[in-house]
Amino acid sequence: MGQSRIVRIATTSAAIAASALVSACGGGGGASTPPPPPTQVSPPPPPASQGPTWTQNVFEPASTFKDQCQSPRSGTDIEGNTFPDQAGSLIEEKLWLRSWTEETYLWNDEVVDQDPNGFATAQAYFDVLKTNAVEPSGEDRDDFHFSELTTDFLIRRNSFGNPGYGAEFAIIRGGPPRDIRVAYTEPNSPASTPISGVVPLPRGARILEINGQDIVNGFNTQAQLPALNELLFPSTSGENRTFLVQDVDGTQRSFTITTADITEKPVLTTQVISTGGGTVGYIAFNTFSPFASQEEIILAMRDMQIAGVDDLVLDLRYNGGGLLAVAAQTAYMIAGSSRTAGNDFERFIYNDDAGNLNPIDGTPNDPFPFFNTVLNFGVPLTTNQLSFGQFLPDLDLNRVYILSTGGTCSASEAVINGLRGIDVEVVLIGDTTCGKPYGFVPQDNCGRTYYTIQFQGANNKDFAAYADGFVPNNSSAVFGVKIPGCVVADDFTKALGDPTEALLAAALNYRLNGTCPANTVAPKTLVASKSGPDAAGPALETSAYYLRDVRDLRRPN
Amino acid sequence: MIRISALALAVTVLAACQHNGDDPVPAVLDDMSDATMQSLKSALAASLNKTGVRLADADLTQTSLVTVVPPPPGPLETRSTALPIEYRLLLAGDTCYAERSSTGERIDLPGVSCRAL
Repeated sequence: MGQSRIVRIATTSAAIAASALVSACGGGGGASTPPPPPTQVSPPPPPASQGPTWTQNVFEPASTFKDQCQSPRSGTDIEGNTFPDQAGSLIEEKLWLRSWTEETYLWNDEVVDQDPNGFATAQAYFDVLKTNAVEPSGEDRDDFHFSELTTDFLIRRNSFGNPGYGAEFAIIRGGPPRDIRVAYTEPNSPASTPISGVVPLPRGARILEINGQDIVNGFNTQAQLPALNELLFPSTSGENRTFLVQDVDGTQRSFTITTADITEKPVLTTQVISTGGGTVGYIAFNTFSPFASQEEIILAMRDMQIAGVDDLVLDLRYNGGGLLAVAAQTAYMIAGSSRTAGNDFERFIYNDDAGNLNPIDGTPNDPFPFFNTVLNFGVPLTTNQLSFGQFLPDLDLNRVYILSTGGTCSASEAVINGLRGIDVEVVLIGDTTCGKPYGFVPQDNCGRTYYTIQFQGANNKDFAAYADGFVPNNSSAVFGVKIPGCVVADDFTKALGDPTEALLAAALNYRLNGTCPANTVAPKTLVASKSGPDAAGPALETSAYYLRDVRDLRRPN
Repeated sequence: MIRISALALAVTVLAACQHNGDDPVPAVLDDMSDATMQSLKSALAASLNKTGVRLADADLTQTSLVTVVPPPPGPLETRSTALPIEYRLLLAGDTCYAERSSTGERIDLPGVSCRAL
């Protein structure tokens, strides 16, 4: 690999140098001496072969093939960046994928080097550029390998809301008879705005029909699933949809709401709960993105600090992750300055060939600290109580209670792991987390954005092996990392933040006497917005995106 | 007494050195015209091997802190390493440049003029 790389660089440099010399000589003669007439010579014969070729286990630098496109784009993207595309070929697009995988994929030594000419498209070739290894639990080692059109990627990351009802659905049973419940609703959304004094889609409501279509027992073929997804996760705003739901008390109701562009509220609710043993703070934190999540979690933590809470229950049951920096800030605000000083929140493990560098961009492999200031992501702060660069509040706790489900994923798990890395006790109440210690930086090439796992996150003690999730200690699960806590089923009969809601109640009880409630076998729930450990296909996306694209609500019973 | 005088002299000399015209001092832009901002962004983008960058809102004629902000994470990025990157505008003699706060990397800024803060 190295020899081939050197040869190609040398050849390119020589060509550039030769070109520069020719250019310099040609430009230095002045205008007084006309150039000699061109000599009539025969054109050189065409090369024996056109373009680069594949040689097994010989990899040229990915940069050799980057942006060499069969159908180059021109102009600028919606973010104003000029497309870097140049005229190239399909084989160059595939060879870029192959070399990029070799350079950045976490398990690059487990990828079988196949001839790209055997694949009709770059996308099809990319699909095999991954490990086929299986974890001891039976799960595929790599569940997060996918691609999408760059136009779709850019639209999504720049949108200020996605069409929907403002309700997050929990898929308790994905196949008929389906059990789909409302997990929570966004404030001021169609789902939460009362109609005649009644909240249309309260937590726990079961979806029976939409527009007269039977959500429970209908849509029994694969071909019908897109229609089901469209009903549950509308792709356009401004459409009226008539629901039939069953409330937690068994009452059935019908109503009509209009889809709208929904912006997710990161911190859904907070509580300060007085108990016999002091005050306990509660924060329902549903996403570490977008950038505004930073401000919301800081203000929530500041309120907890002002309230003088003795303990904190951080509800991450529906938090599928987002910005690792905000996760690091969150951990800092829990643990405080003395426990975090000089320690790493997350260290990055790249493939064995990367050495001390981040192979994605060639920069030094620097860990993430426990960020302790307000970061400037370019989004104005909505309150003058905070300013960029200001030190964060902290609770200075040596223990935290985290509420979890299979939807507790990625950056959420980084909080758990990061705190454990500095000996802050994490008590996990709920269900096994999703098990995604991995990350990637999406990369565009020639109009398609590719996601391939590039790093694994380790804590300050270099622990990173939680691909089967963190598991409450009293679980019967064979795999996963068992940590203190209790298995408790998500309780859709109570509002989030209600001290009698089962997960929060279990945390409060555990805090007082160190015991778990009896008979709390948690059914695995696939939260629609985030993939659970048994979700097929791409992970970690919004509900509409995930289910629209995967097009399969069914899961093993 | 002699020791104290020597120390005071040394401090004075050191302070004088710090005001030497070639030592970098915090700086701000002379103007935020389109041309200046384009030059600034182009230089920073090139240093990051990007085709373009977005800067956080700031009056760079009043503050020397320049922040390159990351693009927002996409919905599939659940462990995004996106971070803002901070630079300080510095002036050494007549040369204006940006220094990356985390690494000390110096980025020359052709087409950008500064004044000492």
